[in-house]
Amino acid sequence: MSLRHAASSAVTALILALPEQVLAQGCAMCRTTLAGSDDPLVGAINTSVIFLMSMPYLIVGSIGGWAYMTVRRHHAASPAETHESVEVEGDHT
Amino acid sequence: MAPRRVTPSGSLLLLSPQIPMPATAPGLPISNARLAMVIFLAFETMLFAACIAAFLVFRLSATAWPPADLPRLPITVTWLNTFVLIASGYAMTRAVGGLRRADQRQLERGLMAAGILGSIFLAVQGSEWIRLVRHGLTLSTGMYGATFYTLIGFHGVHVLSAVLWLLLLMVGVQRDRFRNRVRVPIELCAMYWYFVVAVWGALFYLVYLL
Repeated sequence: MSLRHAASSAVTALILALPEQVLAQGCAMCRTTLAGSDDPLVGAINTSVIFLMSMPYLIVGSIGGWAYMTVRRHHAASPAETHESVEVEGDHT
Repeated sequence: MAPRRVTPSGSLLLLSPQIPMPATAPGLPISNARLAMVIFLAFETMLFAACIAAFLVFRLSATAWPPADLPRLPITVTWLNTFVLIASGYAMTRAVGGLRRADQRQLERGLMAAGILGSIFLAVQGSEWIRLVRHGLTLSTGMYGATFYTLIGFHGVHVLSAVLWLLLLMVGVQRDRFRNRVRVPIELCAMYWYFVVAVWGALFYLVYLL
């Protein structure tokens, strides 16, 4: 085992050996704030998190829908041309 | 052995539209330029979403919004300004329609109307900002001022860049550069314009009406 592999293995083992609570301290402020349930900030942060979390799904879904409709419309408009375009050199060998 | 079919996709052509290039290359349902624009708009959407998420944290956790000692935002003027921006989106649609029908006159009129309406929107926003600053609402006036100027200012920069882009396109149209089915730059600008109009709808509701 090379020195580089030994070092990376040691770092990995150290990370895995750390207690879970230590890793959870990355968001200490949020954790402390959200612990109190009476604060209106809790609901605000939760709403904000849900909003931000939903955006990638919304964007990917919209782009996927747009791409699907565009490709479908293109196939309907020019089926012959589309079939031609997928022909590549290797198909006829 | 059949020859390999090479289908060149549309290049961006943002500032140099003199190279003849159709909107979509033959055989490809979506041109590379349009796909790149969609990806760019997705990135922009996430950027605005992050700003809106930060705004929501402060807005929904505040007991009084706006704070009692700070001026209210001008709702009526902004409603009118919203209609101006929507009208600019319609003008852009007319321009794209003119482009597709090869109607040079409609294209020029549509682009000019969109540009003028976008400029009016910016001018009204600017005058309202000056008024609000005079009434004591600045970027450093707590979270209310900071979130307002960040969100609306960020959108204003987007409208400004869209207007500048439109000006460049109008110069190209005047020089008759968009003949031979070269329509990618105008359609990309239209996509960006629609995005700016759509984002304003969300921002107007959240910042002014919520």
